[in-house]
Amino acid sequence: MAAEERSASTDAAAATDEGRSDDPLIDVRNLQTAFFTDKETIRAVDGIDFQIDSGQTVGIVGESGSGKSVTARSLMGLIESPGRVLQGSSVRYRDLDAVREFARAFPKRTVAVEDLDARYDPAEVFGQTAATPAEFGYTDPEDVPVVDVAAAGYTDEAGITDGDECVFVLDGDGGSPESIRDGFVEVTRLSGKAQRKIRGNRIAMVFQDPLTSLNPVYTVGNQIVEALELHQGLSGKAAAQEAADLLEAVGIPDARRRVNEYPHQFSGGMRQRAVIAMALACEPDMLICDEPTTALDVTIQAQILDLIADIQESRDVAVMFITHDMGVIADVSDRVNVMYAGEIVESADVGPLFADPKHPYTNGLLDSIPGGQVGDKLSTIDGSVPTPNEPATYCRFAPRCPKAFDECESVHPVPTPVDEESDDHTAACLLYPDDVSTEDAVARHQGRDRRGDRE
Amino acid sequence: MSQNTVSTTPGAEAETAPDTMVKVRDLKTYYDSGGLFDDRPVKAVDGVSFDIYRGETLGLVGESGCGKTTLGRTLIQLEAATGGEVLFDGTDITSLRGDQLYEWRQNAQMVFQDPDSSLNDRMTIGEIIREPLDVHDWKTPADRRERVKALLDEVGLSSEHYYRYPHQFSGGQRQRIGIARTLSLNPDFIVLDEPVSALDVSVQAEIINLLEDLQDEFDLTYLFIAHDLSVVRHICDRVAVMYLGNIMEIGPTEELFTDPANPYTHALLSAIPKPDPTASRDRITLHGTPPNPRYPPTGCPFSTRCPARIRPDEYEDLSDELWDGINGFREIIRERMRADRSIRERVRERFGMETRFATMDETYDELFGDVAVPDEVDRVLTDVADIASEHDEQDAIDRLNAEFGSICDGVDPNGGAGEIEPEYYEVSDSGRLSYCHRHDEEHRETATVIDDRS
Repeated sequence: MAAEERSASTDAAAATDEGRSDDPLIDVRNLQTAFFTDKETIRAVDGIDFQIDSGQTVGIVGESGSGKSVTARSLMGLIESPGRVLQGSSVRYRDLDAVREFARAFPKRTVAVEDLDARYDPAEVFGQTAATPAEFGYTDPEDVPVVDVAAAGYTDEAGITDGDECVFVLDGDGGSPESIRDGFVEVTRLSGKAQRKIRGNRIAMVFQDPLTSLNPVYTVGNQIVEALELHQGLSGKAAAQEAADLLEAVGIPDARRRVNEYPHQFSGGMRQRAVIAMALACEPDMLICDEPTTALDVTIQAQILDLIADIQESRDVAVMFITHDMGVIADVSDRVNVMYAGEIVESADVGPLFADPKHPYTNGLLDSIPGGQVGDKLSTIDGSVPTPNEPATYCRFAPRCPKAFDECESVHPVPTPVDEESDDHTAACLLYPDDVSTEDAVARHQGRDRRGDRE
Repeated sequence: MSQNTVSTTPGAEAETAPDTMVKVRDLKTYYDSGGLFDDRPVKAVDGVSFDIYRGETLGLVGESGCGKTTLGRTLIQLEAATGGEVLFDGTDITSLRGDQLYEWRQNAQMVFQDPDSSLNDRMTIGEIIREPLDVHDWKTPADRRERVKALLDEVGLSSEHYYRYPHQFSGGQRQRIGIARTLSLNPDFIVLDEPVSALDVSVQAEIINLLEDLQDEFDLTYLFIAHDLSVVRHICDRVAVMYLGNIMEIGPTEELFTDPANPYTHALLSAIPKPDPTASRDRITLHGTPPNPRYPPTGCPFSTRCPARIRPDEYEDLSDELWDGINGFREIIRERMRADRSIRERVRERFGMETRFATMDETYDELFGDVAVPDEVDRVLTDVADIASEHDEQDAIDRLNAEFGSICDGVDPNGGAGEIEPEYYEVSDSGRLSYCHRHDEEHRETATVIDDRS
């Protein structure tokens, strides 16, 4: 997002207190997750931005090793050592209920934005941190809202709170939690206790292989009941009843009997349904589906896709859908992010993305699907996905790109609107925007790299 | 279901008959459970007949558990056939033993799905590819080394990879190594068992191109087993669609994809998500899962999920929701019949205590709660539910079939006691065959029925 837009949206946020329904539920800004090994640092997710609205399905598509699953795990707080979400990343969870709940539970960690602006001078804050204005999409340190700096994890250095767990609240009158009209929970910097209030409860996840997400020694019903007890406070008969209802809701026939069966007595599709039932047990606002149908047959895949669409419609949840299958993405998504080597290389609504793909990688991916050109040779993308083990000062796709030119080796492309008209269709490629000359286009990418190079 | 002696060979022995390489006749592969109480075998392949022509790629598609891999393995004698014949150029290989089998095996090889587990991590690439040559004592060791290097070149790797280990290669490269190994003895026939399912789409395209090149160069004949239908459409000349151990439809690829005849082919094709968000989304979603191949349904194997199942005339006008309910009901009863019962359950049942099986009423409400059920249908269904609650599942099924069963469920429309199975009907000039009662003239066309009901 360009600097002007970013500040414009902040102004708008300050101007209106009500009517924030158009804010995204999840706002991912400059997310960077790296794994630190003896040999090298792998930047599995390397500075990505995207938003998901309530009731929207956002697809993330890419080959293996592109960082799709690490993105999901970063949102869930499931990154384990030697991996870490880096400073500078911000994942904002904007559900008002959740913000109030957190403000009640963690008053010391709640920071009012007005306070921040009054107490700190952005330039001074920058002086104490290793951050650069470019990380936040600005050129001048004076312009960067202090809340952005704080949310990105520079609280310690700037002396805003001690420790790095904080909840930020854009507060109307600085009063009680109930008077909060807007704000966000910074998901990437929560403590274990606070994390558990989000994970499972607010954001639930469905994994690829249902057999490994179910415990073989407990009945399916038992496992759903466990989730209900933990998150909903139900117990005994009520929980058992609710578990059976959930199984029925996800389309398992004869649910009352099935509740007492073990995972091995379920077929693959049924197991995935059971896992989805478990995810729904906590009535989450957002469902992350990480390749939920990859292990299933097409006919069963069709059932599960129908089910997820039904759930979304009836419960108005936001869905983040990860897959490598372009066909599935076209079927389920409202908006699509194409990932390559830890970066989002193209982002657009599903229609324009498939009708008019812009990034050479997206083109290559779509062309290599059999079916387009019967009888002919399939077109391929030469080479393989590189391991993103250094901060890129070049385009990571350039070595495989049929359209690469000299600058691709020396300028790192950032997501840019593909032309004047299409604001919400971006591509991280030096060819864009395509309504200006190549030199101008390259110039727009230069020096706009937003990743810090801290290790 | 074993009398499928009808040949699935297209066009019989027409004068322009293509050069047949493999003739499969009524092939059956059963797995015995060896259980004390329940000795019904798993009918993985249940009487299939088809031909494979020299130089063609025959696709074999179907859901997991339909028997496609077992069929592929049986064709090259990695599994012993329970019955039937596999004639390779006239030799029935199911009867080969010992040295003869060892000799013959040079002609037929297999590429496996998972390139991670099909290569031995402790052997170098050279040793892996050389192994078949060593086993068959091919020429001198120096010749073998040369041959391996030539093969590495052939599959797009280089001879310097000879001394490396599998973990140093990516998935696509490993699959290339697997392909080089199968080529080492110059086979005529290769079974490709899901060779690209574990690969990313751009890598997948490279392997498919490689397989096509190799086929041209070495005149190979492929049996291509896959569940990804878009890949099959690209690479195969003809396709066989399998369901529960039976071939449901077999014919030329394009024809089968553009104008499927069998209801199962219809459903399978409509379930593929297309990389085009504007494509119509009126896919046929099949209910439930394929039945257990240990207990296949009577009649047509697909009858339990078929979107175009023939309904008895007197009930033709019932609503589709009600039919869905009736079919679901039947499945639940069948399911209960098979469900494992613990000793505790059996004891509880014996003493008339409530078991988890005794909740038929709730199930009944679940299925028919919000559907309008005509009285005469309701009477039958309540009756069936009562029988099922008494744990006489077989009786309940029989009662349900007597009322709502049709030829698809193996019920003889003329009142005969025998079980009726579908036949293969020739559905086009190219000799495409489909295993379905709908092709009989007295029934309506599959496509129109599916349209009506959806």
